[in-house]
Amino acid sequence: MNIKLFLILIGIMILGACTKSETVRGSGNNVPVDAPGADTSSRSSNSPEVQQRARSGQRSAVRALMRSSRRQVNAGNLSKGASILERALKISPRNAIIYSNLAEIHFKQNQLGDAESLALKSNSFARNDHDLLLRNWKIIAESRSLRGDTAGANKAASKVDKYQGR
Amino acid sequence: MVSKRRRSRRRGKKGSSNSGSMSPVKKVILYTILASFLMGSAYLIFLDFQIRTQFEGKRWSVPAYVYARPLELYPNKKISKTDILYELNRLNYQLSETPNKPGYYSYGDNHVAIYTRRFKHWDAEEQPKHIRINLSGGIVVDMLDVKQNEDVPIVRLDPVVISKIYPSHNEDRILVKLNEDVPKKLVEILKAVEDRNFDSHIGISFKGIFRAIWINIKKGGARQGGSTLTQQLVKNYFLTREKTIWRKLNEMAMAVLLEFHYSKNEILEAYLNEVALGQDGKRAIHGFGLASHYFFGKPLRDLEDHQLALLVGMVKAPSAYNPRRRRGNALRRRNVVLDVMREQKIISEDVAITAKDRSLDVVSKKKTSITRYPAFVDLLRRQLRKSYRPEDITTGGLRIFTTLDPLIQYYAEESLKTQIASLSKWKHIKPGKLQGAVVITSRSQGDVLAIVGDADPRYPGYNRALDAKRQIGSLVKPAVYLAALKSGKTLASLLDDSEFSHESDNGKIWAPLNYDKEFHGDIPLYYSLAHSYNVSTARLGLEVGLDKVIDMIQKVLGKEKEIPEYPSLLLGAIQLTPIEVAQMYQTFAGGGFNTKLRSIQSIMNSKGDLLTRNSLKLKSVVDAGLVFQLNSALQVAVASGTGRGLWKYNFLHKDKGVAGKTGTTDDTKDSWFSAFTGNYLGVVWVGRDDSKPTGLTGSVGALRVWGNIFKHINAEDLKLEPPSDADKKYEYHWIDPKSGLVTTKHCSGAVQLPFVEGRSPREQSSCTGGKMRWLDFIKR
Repeated sequence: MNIKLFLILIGIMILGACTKSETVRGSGNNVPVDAPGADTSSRSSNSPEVQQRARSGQRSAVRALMRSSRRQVNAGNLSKGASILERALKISPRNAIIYSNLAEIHFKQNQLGDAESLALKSNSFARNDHDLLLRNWKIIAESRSLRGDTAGANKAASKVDKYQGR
Repeated sequence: MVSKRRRSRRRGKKGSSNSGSMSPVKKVILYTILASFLMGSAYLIFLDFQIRTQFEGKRWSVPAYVYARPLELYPNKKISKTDILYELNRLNYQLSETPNKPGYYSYGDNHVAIYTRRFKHWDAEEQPKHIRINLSGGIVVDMLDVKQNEDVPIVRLDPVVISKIYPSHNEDRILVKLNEDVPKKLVEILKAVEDRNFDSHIGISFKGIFRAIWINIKKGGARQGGSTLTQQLVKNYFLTREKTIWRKLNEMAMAVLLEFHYSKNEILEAYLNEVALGQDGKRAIHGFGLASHYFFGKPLRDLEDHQLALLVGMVKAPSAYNPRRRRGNALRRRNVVLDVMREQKIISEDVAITAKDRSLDVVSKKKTSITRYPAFVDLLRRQLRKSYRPEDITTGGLRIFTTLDPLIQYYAEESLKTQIASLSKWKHIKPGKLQGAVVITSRSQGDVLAIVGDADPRYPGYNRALDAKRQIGSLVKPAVYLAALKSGKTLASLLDDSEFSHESDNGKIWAPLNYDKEFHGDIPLYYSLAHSYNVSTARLGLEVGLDKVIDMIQKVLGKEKEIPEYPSLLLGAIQLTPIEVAQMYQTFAGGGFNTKLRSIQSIMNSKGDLLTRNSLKLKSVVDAGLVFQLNSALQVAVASGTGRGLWKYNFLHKDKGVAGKTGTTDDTKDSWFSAFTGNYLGVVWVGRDDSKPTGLTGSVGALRVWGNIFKHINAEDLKLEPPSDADKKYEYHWIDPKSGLVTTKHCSGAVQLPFVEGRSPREQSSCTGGKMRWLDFIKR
């Protein structure tokens, strides 16, 4: 037993190298916070001018995000580009162009099912924007055909013809 | 050194003189010594490696940071000043008269000025900016960059940290930092009780062992143990309970090695985070940080003397001194520690006496959640396990960006809490018996914004939002009606709500009744749905076919759920959890697109690289035109049907156009409300865990909770539009609720509904019986 204790101490001398490292990263505590307070008046009391200004600012926000998404896509960062478009969608949830752009990104990412669904979703908001409808149907036709859905692709192709004809 | 050299010289001499003539016995002894020296050294190296790996491993186990959604501000966003201030508060922004550096803000009557922080989000890094946000009438009007004096289109704040989790351990821990979170007094008490020579010993303390023996003999009983804190730490790392001399020696060796490599403070901090202090079912309570929350429901820093004494006292035998199960033991042990504290002059005599008079002050086990949002974090963990590869989440320091909206979550919790309390009072239900759950998602993207799984939102136990499988009652009806619309019915098709019974194959008679116990004759389809009539629905569902209805339910649910083909399913004899109901209604809210619910946006590693992104996933499952018609009827259900309490009780204005459905099961066992506005979808369930009747229908129970939430969360108007690019065109007509025929806007009760072009009722109805009233149930 004594030998073991002796060896232990010898061992400690042998094992020299010691490293110092940072201390444990701990978790903080939640600071007690006040309650939020929503404005529950059901209708905005703003003048038409103020509303106009706010709406125009909102459109700028969407445009800014779409530009920044485009930059990411052009730089090859498709995932980031899509992510930014989803932010834009939060501001403008029925925006057919955003959905269409998202469909295009997913198509480029070879996520064909998503591309098709997003293009269909875009169509449901596209109203009479035939250029957009045409673009979406092209994505749908292409996605379906790449996935081997020939019947679906043909159906989409006839839509492409319809909108191209106009 | 000198003596060493001399010794070796002597040994050398001996060796050389005897080398030729060493007896075999001596040789064996020498080789044995040599061999055991080598083996011993190798063993020590092994031990050293083990202890350092263990120590470093624990030290470096950095939690995953879980973030809420970042608040984005842009013109025309509906948000109050108070809500922005609340968010800033949660983010620890400091109020300052002139915010001149990141993390500060100021505000006035109609504006908030924020100097935002730099933050790397998953898609881009936000740079610090000094922004002035001008508010008016509940919206952001514009935002200005104060320095550049120019409009800013959009601002994204850093996100609130909502939890820190250890995905690899799959356990909650609260790590404490010695300098920040640990009261000095705790360290003093710990040393006084467990290891008085901690600051001077080398990992093992012979003095300590002798003193322990002496004190134990003198005062009787085991007042002190001989192990140093360092030894105890080692023991905690290698949890074998065997009491052998060999283990003890290993422990001592490792303790010495540990002391050799690390500073006293590092060892102490590791000890404070590692020591076992209890057991909660399968979960071990490790560390003072977690124990403090577990037993006292507050952080270590806020503990009082008698509470610190208890925790330190428990180190010796956590289960024998468990303050919840062994109160007497725990109290005695605590008072022993208080005595030691007095003896060691950590506290004065007076303080000790007062402290001994205190009760244990342990909180009831219920209130011990260490995360603010237990239900959401629960969902998050499940999605992590399901959707991410283990290697993605087991590395430390992950940054998990979630969809939780702290503002909406706040209102969801408050509403459920207060409404459950008042509903209990109203229906004379014993407090604590009535329960509920809430799920709120974003209509367009299926983001889970808020989730509450208990009427006490901090309670981390049974998560009803995810786990309470309950009959959904009339919440199933939209799927039945959707199947009917698909089969060619229109919103004005007449349904038969006269007495009805159905004999199934096994000879059983099924004769459903309406909630009001009356029959209503012929009624238009939309009216039957809006008023949730059972008899007409049962007949309709059987006419359409149970298989078609089941197919539709599966489609809108987005999964192949096994649904038995009983006619009673038409009235909701099918069990779903609140989150499954949300997934189902997401398809209605999404215009026929099933949007997969998500709680995780993306995950970044500690270096800031994007590991995974949960992109928007939707799938067209039902024709958008059919869902558009259905939603129009669901709007009528809220405008003038079973959901009208929403505006009658002044929760929301009727013009909001909310589309939704109430649900009540037999004897009011379950009260449901599921509905959506322009931006959000909400599902609320209210009921008892023991499934006893509550006396609450969907219209008066769950609806109130829903209404109270949506009153506060900036719900936008729901404006339904016919889908473009559909093969069919749609036209609107005013319909007379009595005859289902086309009528005029001014007829009493007339409702404007969409029809596929050419499929509206041909005949016109005059406003028979009703006098002309300027009452439009749906204004468009």
